[in-house]
Amino acid sequence: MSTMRDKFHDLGNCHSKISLASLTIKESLLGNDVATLSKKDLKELIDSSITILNKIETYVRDADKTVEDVKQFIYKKVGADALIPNIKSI
Amino acid sequence: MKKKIGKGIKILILDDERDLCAFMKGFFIKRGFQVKTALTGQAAINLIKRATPNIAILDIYLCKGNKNGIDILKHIKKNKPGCHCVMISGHKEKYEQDSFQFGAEDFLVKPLTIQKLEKSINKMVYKIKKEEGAHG
Repeated sequence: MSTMRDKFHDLGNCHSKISLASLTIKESLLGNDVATLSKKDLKELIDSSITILNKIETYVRDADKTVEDVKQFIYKKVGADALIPNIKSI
Repeated sequence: MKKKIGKGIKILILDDERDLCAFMKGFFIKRGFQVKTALTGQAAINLIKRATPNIAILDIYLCKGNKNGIDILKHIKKNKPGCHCVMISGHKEKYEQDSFQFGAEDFLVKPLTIQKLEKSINKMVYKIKKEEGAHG
């Protein structure tokens, strides 16, 4: 069993990992002059980028699963058609 | 090539997410920082005993271990008061006030983006350089 706080913590972590993983790929591609790399170095760069892209796919799946869990819980508690008031007025 | 703004500056990262630690570590190493990472509060305390970080990035809500980021903030401010602490949490209303009360220099709200993190660390680096200048 998890709390809502745990779920949103997980979701925040997925978001943070996607953001930092994307930046890691971008920096490694922009930081190398790919036209001048040896075949070996180029392969390493591609392999490491694909590894991180695979991780991003996993984080997205994890985030989807967490959102689905929260959605099911909220729907059961308040119903799917409940109106959401302006948060500042709560 | 990124400007090595972190040359000579040690960073401790405390986060229970291994991948987040690894991405942050890579980001800061590219900028010249020396980086240590810890997945639990106790591991962070052990690292702090061995070497004093100049900056500590502390996630507050940790699923592993029995200490949270605020406990580590208190430990650092008691034992290594010169270390600048940046707190990270998704619960601003719950932890922001405590963080500043116990001496944190900055508080970042999750989800974390690299822009937020970089801006905060640049601010800490500026403070450290200024302090170094003041001490000769």
